[in-house]
This record gives sequence, structure tokens and C-alpha cells, in this order.
Amino acid sequence: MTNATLRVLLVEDNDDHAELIRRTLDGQPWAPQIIHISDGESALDYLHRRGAWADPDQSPRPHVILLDLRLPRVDGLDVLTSIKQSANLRRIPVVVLTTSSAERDITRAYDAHANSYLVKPFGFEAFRDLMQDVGVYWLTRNTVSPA
Amino acid sequence: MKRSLLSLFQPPFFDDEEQTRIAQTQHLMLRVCLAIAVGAAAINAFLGRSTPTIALLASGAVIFIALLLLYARRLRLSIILLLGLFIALTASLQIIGRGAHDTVTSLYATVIVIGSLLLDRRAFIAMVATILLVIAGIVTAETYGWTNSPYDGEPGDWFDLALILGLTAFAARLLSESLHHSRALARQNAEALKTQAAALRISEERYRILAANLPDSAVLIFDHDLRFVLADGPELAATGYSKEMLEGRLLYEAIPHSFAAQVEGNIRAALSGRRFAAESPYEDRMYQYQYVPLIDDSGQVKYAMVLARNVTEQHRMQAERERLIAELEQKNAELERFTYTASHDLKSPLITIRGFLGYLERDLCEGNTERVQNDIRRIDAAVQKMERLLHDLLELSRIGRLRAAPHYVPFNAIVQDALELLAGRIAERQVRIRVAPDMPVVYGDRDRLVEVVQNLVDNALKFCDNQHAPDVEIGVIRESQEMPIFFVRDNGIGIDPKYHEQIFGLFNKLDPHTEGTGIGLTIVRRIIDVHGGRIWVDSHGSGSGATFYFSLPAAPTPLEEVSYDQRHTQSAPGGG
Repeated sequence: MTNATLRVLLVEDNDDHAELIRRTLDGQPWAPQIIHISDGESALDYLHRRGAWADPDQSPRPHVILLDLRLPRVDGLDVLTSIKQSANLRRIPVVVLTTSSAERDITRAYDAHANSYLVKPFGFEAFRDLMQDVGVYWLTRNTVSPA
Repeated sequence: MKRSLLSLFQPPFFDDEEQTRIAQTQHLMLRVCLAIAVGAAAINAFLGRSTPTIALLASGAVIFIALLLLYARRLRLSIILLLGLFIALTASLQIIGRGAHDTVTSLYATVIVIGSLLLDRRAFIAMVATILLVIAGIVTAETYGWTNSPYDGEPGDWFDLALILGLTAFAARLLSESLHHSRALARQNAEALKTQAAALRISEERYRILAANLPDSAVLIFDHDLRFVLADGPELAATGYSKEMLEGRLLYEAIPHSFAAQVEGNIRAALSGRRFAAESPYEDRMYQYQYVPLIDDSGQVKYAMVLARNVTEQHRMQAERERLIAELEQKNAELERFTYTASHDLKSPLITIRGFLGYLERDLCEGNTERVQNDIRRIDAAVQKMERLLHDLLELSRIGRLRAAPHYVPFNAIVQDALELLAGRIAERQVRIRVAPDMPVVYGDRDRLVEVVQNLVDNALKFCDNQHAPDVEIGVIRESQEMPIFFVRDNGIGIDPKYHEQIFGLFNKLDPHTEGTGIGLTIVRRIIDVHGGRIWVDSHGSGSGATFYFSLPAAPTPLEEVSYDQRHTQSAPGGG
């Protein structure tokens, strides 16, 4: 069912939220491959191809990164900053997906060059619609950088 | 009585100083003359010469009358009477003797000199005129041979005598008046000087009072030789010096060389006209020094003034204020972090619940029992998580208030309580626990401190899972008597130094899959904070174990005073 050519890197420490996101994206015609990582440090290891993800075949580049802000070990903002400061990674769109609607988080995320900032909605329908919009936009409409 | 009788024979005092002085002179003269008259009368009586005796006694009577007049404050009359007596006596002697040519004529000159000193101008002129008239009479008497004088009187004689006596009178009066004038001038000057001195004394006293009463200050004034011209003020005594020890002495004589060398530069700068302030400590106090050049009317720096003010209290208050502001800022930041984290972490389970309720409905319709079960399990877990979070938050918010009044508790008793609460888990994981004996007595809320140890040991147990021989050690480092440092050490997975601060943050977990909400260390830190202590962690990271250190206030009383058992009872909640 999953489209092997479309990949989403989901950095999310809450397993339930990860499951919700996975279920809303699955079953779509453009359903992507979801790489779920639950802490900031591992996310950076994956992206920078370190440790367990040193092999590029094991750590293919995602088309979009869905990033939670509140993460164990390395905070989501630090992950974002590291991505946008890296010449190899900065062109990958990063969509911040968080429960926080705090002004401070929004401005800091954009200051760190987040491509989008989305607040997780409470209701089931709203959550599902948002995830579908994200998938449609970033995986089917958006053109990724060639390199 | 005797004194008041004697005072009858004192010359009178007048409001006018000059008159009093004249009265005194007159008094002296009268008494001398009276003595001479009486004495001479006695000698003449002894020699059997009756006429001179009578004349002298008569003169004595007149002098006595003059004396009485003086006592009756009739000064002018008394003088005129005396001088009149002199003139009459001289004239009599001339008539008896050789008329205008007799040597007694020169007595008129004496009378004129005395008159110039004692009489006012009008009376003096009248007296001189009288004398000239008397002489004219004598010369006339000579001319007609009414005297025993062998000479024939001639108008030329009168003219010569008048000229001589007139000149004498003029010179004497001139002298007398100039004397009078200089005396008046001198008196005026003396008066002025006296007023000036009094004014100066008042002014000096004023600035003395000012210097002596400047609050919390000492005033020091130096001249160009660096000599203390003035040293005063309430703060001077506090430095161990006194006015007497400093004033009039040189800087290097009066105070220790090292201290003098410290301030010399500043005093010289003030003496060169610079005005500035400096602050420096002296002993255990803080002083603010104002260096002020004191400039006289000609614009020259005459002195340097050092105004030293004790600002210890202001400094202490300033520091206290800054500390409170910092504390408040820290509390504010903490509160902001708290609300932010709390709202974020409370939202998460809600999203989960709403999300899976949606899927539950769908899965029920589709009859997918496996998924239904999964949905329900997740919803249930999220509700439980929410409950735990709320419980923990409530716990944390309560720590600000100590549960019970603080007590003296032996730290070993606290550890014992904590280990009892964890007994099941310790046994289950087969962890070896070592506790140092005889740890100090601490001062605090027993239940809270048990919570601290329980949380730290619980953490240690969690992260010792990887070990074959898990080992937890509880002990103390007695670096300071007041704040002993306790520690809980494990040989577990350790904590990377970059996370040493993060682990104390609210709901911060290094591993999202470990049990608990991630509030444990936040609570521990909060309890230690409330007790006035500090907590930190030491670990080199992966596999090297971790040691949590925390300081707590020790019992302020010596341990000998209370026995272990007594302390134990005393530490019971509520104090018994």
C-alpha cells in the first residue's frame, strides 16, 4: 500500500501521536513510507548518518520532516537548527508539528527557518484533515529540491 | 557690713568709662593732697608756725569737702573745687612771696596740666582764663605795691606769663585730647575685635557641630602638608580614632603607614583641585568617600576635605534587593516554564484520546475487534497518563509550602524510611544498597526529605537494570558543618554531561520509554531548594554510573545535646 518513493521522517516522542499520524496517512493513494524516530538525538543521527544510520542505504533522505518540538535529549528546536545549518539537509522541508501554540515557540521555529508550523488539533476530524492536507501538500504538490 | 562701709569710700562708677577713669584719678589726687595737707599742717604745728598750719588745715578741709563731693557723684564740682584750691593757694603764696616773679608761679602750669586731663573743654578754658585773671590781679597788686614783692609789676610780665601759660594750656589740652582720642579709638578697636572674635567662635562652633553631627559620617580636613586640620563626626569613633588623635598631626604620623599610603594620592588630588568620590571597604564596613577641594575667596585650594560616609547598610540593602529581584526573576522564569510545559504535556493525552475515539468509532463500524481493543487500550493509557500528570503537578505545586514544621531528623532515619518504601523493588531487582552509618542530623520536613531519597534511589534502581551486580550507595561528605553534602551513587547507565541540567526540568525524560512522567527530579530539586540546599549530578555518561549530590542544612545544635532516640521522637511529624 505504501508508496516506496515518498518518505516522511516523523520525529515524535509520543507513540500514540505517531500511531495517529501513521493511521491518517496510511490508506491514501500517496501513502508514504514513515520513518518514526522518537527522540531528537536519534533524529540527528539518522539525518547526519551517524552510528546506527551510518549506511546511506539505511537512511534515505525524506521528502518532508514532521518534527515535534518537545523531545527527549535534543529539543526539537535544536534538531531544526542543526538541519537548517547543514548544507546537506537544509533543503529538506521541515514541518513543525506540535501541541504548543506558544508565541515563543512559533517565532523561534520560524527564526530557525522552519518551513511550516502546525499545531496539533484536538478533534479527530480536525487532526485527520490536517494530516491529509499536510500529506497532499508536501508529498504531492510540493516540488522537492533536486539535490 | 565692713565691706559696705568701705564701699562708701570708693570712687563712684559712672556709665561712661571715661568719667569713671577721671573719678578714679581725682580720688587718688584728693587723698594724696589730703595726706600732704594734713602732714604738712602737723609739721608746721610742731614747728610752732601758726599761719601755715591754719592755711594747711583750711586747705585740708576744702580737699575733704571735694572728696565728699566726689562720693556724692558731683565729679565736676569736686574737680573745680580742688583746682580752685590750687589756684587760690598759688595766688596766696605769690602775694606772700615775690608776686608774679615768685617760683610758685610755675604751679599754675601743674594746675593747667591736671585741669587738661580732668576737665571738659569749657571748664578748662574757664580755668585758664581764671588763672590769667588771677595773675593779672597779682601783677596789678605788684604795680601798686600791695604785695611784699620787691619787683614792680609791669604789663609786660603779665603778657609773658600769659603767653607761657597759654601755650602750656594749649599743648596740654592738645595732648590730653589726642590721648583721649587714641584711647577712644583703642577702645573701639578692642570692642570690634571682641565682636569679631565672638562671631568667629560662633561660626567655628557651628561647623564643629555640623561636622560632629553629620549622620553616619566622618569629616576630615587636610592642609597642604597633609596635616589633619579637622577630624570629627559620629563615624570617626567607629574607626577607632578620635579627634584628639588626629587633629594637628600629619597623615603619616596619625594613621598606619599602609593606610596613609592608600589615601595619600586621593587627598593630594583633592588638594590639586579635583573633586571626586570613591568607595572602599574599611574593616567589615563599606565607606563612600567624597574628596572635596576647599577653595578660599581668592580661588586657591586651601584645604582638602574628605567626607567618609558609612554606606554598609545601603550596600547590604542593595545586595538584598538584587538578590530578591534575581530570585523573583528566577521564580518567574520557572513559573513560565512550568505553565508552558504543563499545558503542552496535558494537551498530548487529550489529542490521543480524541484521535483514538475517532478511530474507535470507525473500527467498531468495520467490526475490526483487534483494532478496537488497541484503540481502547491507548485511550485508557492516555487517561491514566493524564491522571498521573495532574497528580504530579499537584504534588509539585504543594512543595512550596512545607507539609509540617521543620524538625531535627537524623539522615539515617530518613534513608531507612525511604528504603522501606522501596523494599519490594529493591528485592525484585536484587540491588545491593550500602548506607553510611552515623550521617549528620538535618533540619527539615521529614516526609519531604524521605521523598527526595526515595526518588533518587528509585531513579538509581531504574538505571541499574543493565547491571549484573547493581549497586547503590548512600553517604555524606562533611565539607561544611552547616551544610553537609549527601550523595546517592549508582553503577547504572550514567548520564551524558550535556543532559546534567535538563534532567531536572519538568516532565523531561531522556528516554521516552521509561516509566514515570519525568517529574521525579523536578520534585527532588524543588524540595532541596525549599530547604535552602542545592542538588547536582556527576556522571561521565554511558555506563559509568551517576552520583547525585545534594546539600541540606545540618542541625544547628551540637550533637551531644540530644541523644539519638530523643531526636527520633522529636522528628515525628507534628513534633509529638
